[in-house]
Formats: sequence, C-alpha cells, structure tokens
Amino acid sequence: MISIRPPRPESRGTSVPSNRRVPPHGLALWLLAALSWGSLVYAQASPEGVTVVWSQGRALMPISVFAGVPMIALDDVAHFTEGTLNAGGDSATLSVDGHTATVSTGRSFVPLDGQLVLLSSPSTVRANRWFVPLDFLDKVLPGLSEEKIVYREDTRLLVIGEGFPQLNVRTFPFPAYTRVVLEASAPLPYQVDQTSEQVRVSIPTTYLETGFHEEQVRDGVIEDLVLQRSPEGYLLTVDLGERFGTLKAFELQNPYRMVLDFFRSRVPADAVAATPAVPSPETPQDPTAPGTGEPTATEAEPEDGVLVAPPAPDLPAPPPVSDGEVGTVLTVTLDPGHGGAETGAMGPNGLQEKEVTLAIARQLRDLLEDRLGLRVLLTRDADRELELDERTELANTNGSDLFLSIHANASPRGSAKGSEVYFLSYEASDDESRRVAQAENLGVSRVSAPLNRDLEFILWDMAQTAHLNESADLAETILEELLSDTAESRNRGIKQAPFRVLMGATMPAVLVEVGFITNPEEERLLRSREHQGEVAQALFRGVMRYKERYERRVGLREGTSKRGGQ
Amino acid sequence: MTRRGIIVVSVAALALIAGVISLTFWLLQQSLPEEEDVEKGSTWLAEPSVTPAEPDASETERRIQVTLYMVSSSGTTLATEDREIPLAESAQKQAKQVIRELLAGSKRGLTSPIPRDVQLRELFITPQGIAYVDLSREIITNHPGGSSSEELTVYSVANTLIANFPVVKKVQILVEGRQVESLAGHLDLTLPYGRGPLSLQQNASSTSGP
Repeated sequence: MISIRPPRPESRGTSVPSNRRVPPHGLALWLLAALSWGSLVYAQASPEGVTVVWSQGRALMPISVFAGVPMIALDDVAHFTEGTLNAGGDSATLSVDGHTATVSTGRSFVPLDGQLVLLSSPSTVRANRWFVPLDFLDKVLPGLSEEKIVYREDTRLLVIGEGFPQLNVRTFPFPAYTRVVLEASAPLPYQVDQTSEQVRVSIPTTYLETGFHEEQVRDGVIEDLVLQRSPEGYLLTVDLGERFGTLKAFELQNPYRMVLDFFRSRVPADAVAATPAVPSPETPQDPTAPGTGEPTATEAEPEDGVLVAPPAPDLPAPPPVSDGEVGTVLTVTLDPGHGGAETGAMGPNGLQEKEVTLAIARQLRDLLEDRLGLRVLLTRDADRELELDERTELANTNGSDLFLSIHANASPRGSAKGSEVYFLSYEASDDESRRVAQAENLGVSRVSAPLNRDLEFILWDMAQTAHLNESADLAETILEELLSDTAESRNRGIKQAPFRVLMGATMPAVLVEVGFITNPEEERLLRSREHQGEVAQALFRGVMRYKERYERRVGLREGTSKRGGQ
Repeated sequence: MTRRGIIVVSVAALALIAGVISLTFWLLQQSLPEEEDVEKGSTWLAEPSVTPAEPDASETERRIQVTLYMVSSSGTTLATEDREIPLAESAQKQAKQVIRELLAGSKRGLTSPIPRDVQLRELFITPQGIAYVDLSREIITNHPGGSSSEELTVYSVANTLIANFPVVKKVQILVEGRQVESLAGHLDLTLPYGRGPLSLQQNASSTSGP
C-alpha cells in the first residue's frame, strides 16, 4: 500500500503547532523586503554594518552615520563587487561588470547606465571617502553587478552571488523506518560512512547556513543526531539504536535533499497488522519521500513533491499508480463541489450547485479519459457529502498530477455573472505584498518567484506552496478556454483565496467557478446538458493545454521530471 | 422580637435597598443592559479626545460615525455604508454594537452580506489585535453558498471591524463558540482574516454613504 499525504510541519525535535495552514510569511516578507523598501525608516539604526555574503565568505561592511543617516562607503561596495571606483571633483563613478553608476556630492540622484535612480539621501564625501545611503545596495547595485544581488534591510544582509547553501535537518518517524532528511538549497557534496554504531555524513564544504545542531530521536532505530563544523567541513553523526537494521541513502531534487532511511531490524508482527505500512494520520509524513517501492535516486519525485512513503521492507510492493511515463500529466482528480445534504448554492429556479458540478465533472471525465487517455478520479461520483480534506486526500493518495475542483458561484444579487478560476493564497488578507504585487502588475505567474530565492527557507509544511506557479498556470489555461467564446464581461479573472479544499493538495490545484447559479440566465444555461457539455469541453481544453505546456517545460529540463509512480 | 433581631432585620433591609439602588445604577450605566461583557484585556477606542458617555445622560448621548460593509449593486463587491451609533465605553462594546448594526442589514437599500437571523453571541479583542467574532449557527445554516457570497460575508465582518477599530488587525470568525472549517465550503475559516482583497473593493459606480 502506498500513502501520499500533504507535508506536515512537525519534525520530532520541535513542537510546531499541528496547524499546517500557517501563512508563508517568508514569501510575504520577501515581497515586502524586495518591493516596499523605499519607504523604510532608519529608526533603530544599529550602525555596526551590513553583513555581506560573497564569494569569499562572510564579511562586515561598516556603516557610518552622517546627520542621522546610515551610510556605506563606496570603496567598500567596490571591494565586494570587484568593481572600480573613480573619484574626482564632486562626483565618483563605480564601475562593475561594464555598468556604471555615478554619485555626486549633495545629490540623491544616481545615473545608473544613463538612467536616474533616486536614493533616500544624498551622497557625501568624508575624509576623501565617498558614502552613499544603504538603499544604494538595493536600488543601484542590482543594476550594476551581473551577479545576483539580494539586500535585506531588516537584517542588513547583502548577498552577492548565490550565497551559501542552506541546510536543514529533519526527521520523520515511520512505522518501518526513521527518515532523516537533509534539506539543502543547492546540491552538496557528501559522503556517507557507516560503522556498527554510527552513520556519518560528511559534507566537505566551507560554510553552510544552518540552524540545526542536534536532535534526540531515540526511537530505538536512531538515537541522537549531531551536526558539527570542522576544518574539513560539516559532519552529521547519527547514533544507531538497538533496533536499527539497514540504511538506505538517496537524493532528491528540487529542492535538493539527501535522504537517509534507517530501517528497523524487524517489524513486529502486531505492528504490521495494526498499521500495514501506512503511517497513521498522526504520523508526520515526509514531504520529500520518494516514489513507491525501494527508494532510489532515480525515482526522485522532484517536480511537485508528491510524497509516497516506501512500504515496510517485508511487505509486497504496491501496485503501480501509473504506467510510469515520465514528465507528464497522467492522473487527474476532478472534484465536483459540495454534495449530499450540503447542496452548495441554489439558483432562483431551484437548480442546485451540487447537481451541476457533478454533471460537468462526469462529462469532463469522459473527455479526459477518451481523448487524452488519462486516469481520472472523481472525489464523488454520486450525490454524497464529503469533507473538504477528504477531497484532496483522495487526489494525494492516488498520485494525482492535477486537482480540479468544480463549483458554481452565488451572489446575493441576481445580476452577478461570469466565470473565474481560483488558486490558493495562504494570506487571508490583502497584506502589503499582495497589494504591491497587484500594483506592480506582476501577474499571477510570478507569485511564487521568491520560492527560488535562497535567502528564505520556504517551509514545506504547506502542500500547495510548491505548486503555486503551476496552479497559476493551470488557472490561466482553464480561464482562457472557459471564456473563449463568451463575452469579456463574463471574465472575473484569476484569483487567489485561502480555499480550504486547495490547501492540502500536493499537486497543481485550482477551483473553477463556472458561472453564477444565482443569475437566472446562467442558471438556465447551467441546467442544460448542452451547456454543461460546453463547459466540460472548455475545461478539457484548459487541462489539455496545460498538459502540453507542462510537458514542453519539463522536456527542457531533462531528468528532473520523473514522477513518483513506478 | 429581641433588640438583636431588630438590628439584624434592619441591616438586612438596608443591604437589600443598597443592592437594589446599585443594581439600578449599574443598569443605567450599561448601554446594552441585556448582557454582560467580558472586559478583561479590552482595548479602548483609539480616539482619546472623545470621553465615554455619561451614565444617564441620554439627552447628551455621544454618537460616533461608523462604516459598515454591505454588498454593492454589482453583487460581487463590498460597498460602505456610514451610520451613526451611540458611543460605547470600550472598543469591545463598541465593536459588538458595530457588528450588530452589520447583522441588522443596510438602511440604505444595499444588500446585506450576512444571512438572515444571525446573532452575535460574543466578541472580544485580544491584545494582539485579533477580534474574535462568535456568531450563531445561522451564519452557516442560512448561508446561500457560493465562493463570492462567502467572501462577501467573511470580508464584510473583517473589513467592518478593521475599518472602525485601529486596534483590530485581523478577525477570526467563530460559530457557536467554535472554530469552523468553513462557512459554505470554500474559505478556510480556521484562519483569522485581514482586510479583503482588491477584487472585493467597491467600484466607482456602487452606492456609498451619504
């Protein structure tokens, strides 16, 4: 048997609340830091310096305060960016990678390759050194250097280039084995050595950003984990317990993970009977688990983090969930909204949302099966009530590649009309990042761009986080097709909301509002089998186009698209 | 009756009279005499210039203008409706009044985002700025369903409190004293909600206050 679940936040050593719907503050903060920084006030300036992470390691760039304004020396900036500074008269020019920025005394404007950039304060000269305000690092430097530049005002951290790999170590207890995952922001060299008492993972790298030091597991399989730094690099030692049997080590990609599975020597018969290789719901599941069967590096499931726990060693291998084609969409879960006593919305002439959603889902299933040969699951194929979490659970446990929840909308006003497609937002508010993102017209497809930044450890606690980009893409193709032959006035757009039914999905997931059942005209359409068929056709085209785009994308990224099925 | 008995009876009678007087006085002080507020840790309105209402000064009753969020004519966005209500002595009591006004619906012909018969059971504001709004079960049982309707309901409550009370940063809706998964099967109500997204903001053509 296999079990696929949304990732859970718990690791054994820390008592994280079991609520896995914590908003991704990292993402929000990142956008805030990146986009809203011009308005920052240096109220509590701690004038020690800016921490610089660059190719040579870590260093401190001193901050000097002139007239209450914290400033940095331009020659320091030149040093860290390997640029040249030419000062003369009342201006100085910093050249980096063929780009130039010129500062002038008493002026806040900085011409950067001919374009004016406005800084928060004028530049100044003290003791023959040129000083610029800190927002130079954020506003000018990225335009100068060909290296990636990330400056965070809140922590006064400047990263030039890719920065150092980050490492986190997490443990996950399963009935048959204990998993230790080394999550890293980039592939790391490592070597695993095993003695009768210890397993040692040596990572010969000079510097890692890590908050992990040690953890006591003591579940009989492994005892203590300790991460130490030495002149040769880093060493993670795992003390083996009495119940330790065998070790399996493998890698996963995107994000890069080293996985160590410490199998129990024997699985007690009663434990197998009680929990046949499927961890209990309380058991934290590993978001990084590999495909079914014995995990190997080639079975890595990198694209969307669908997690499958390997079976206990002495149990038969599970049946394959798909026929093993790689880098493609094979299984789709359709979720007809509502059902049973929970009827959903109702039209003025009595049409119930639950009927419409099921009718459309059934037609869509036929199309996807017949024309694309996909495996299609319905969360309900009858008029029955389902919990919201059960719906994603089904998609997760069956290794679905897409999750599509079908709904009809309702408004207190009968005039409201149109279609929209939602994907998940963790923010139940219009916090600054969202407003800024809209103001900047960044568009939905870049919502998860900060995920790739290595300054933040994005929590894996939230199943959908890793799929927001793909979900936005799916939302786009579906909405385009839904509106392809209707009036633009029906376009209600792509939206984000903290929808419960999308939270736990470990694959791209969207919720479609096909129309307003409360609008008499749209109710009439939604009742007709013909229109239901048209909607199903549109959804079919949307899924098909997404599938094609996805396959094209992964085709460009060879070897990273293999799915977790066998 | 002994002399001691008379004293005991007199003391008891005096205590009773004093009790009745203080109860009457206390009732007069209450703007909402039918209920008891749990005022621990309550936060005051951020309007220092305004003094709380006098105990029985009904003729000089202080009033404040509040903004309620109703459904705009489009049916998918929120529109504001301003209304004057009596000034309460604490943010918590004021917030309760504001929510009761919201639950009672529009006085200007706007559509209410709240299903009928919903009662406010309790409301309290934590020092962290989260307002817990405990509503009766009708918020679920009478809810018409639909993502848009549900968004309008949730964000009308959130926006109304956040707009009127600077101390309120987020709003957590409870139903019958408990956290619920959702009102109508879409929005995750285990989260506290901030101000609604731009897509719910009223467009220029919608009705507004006076």
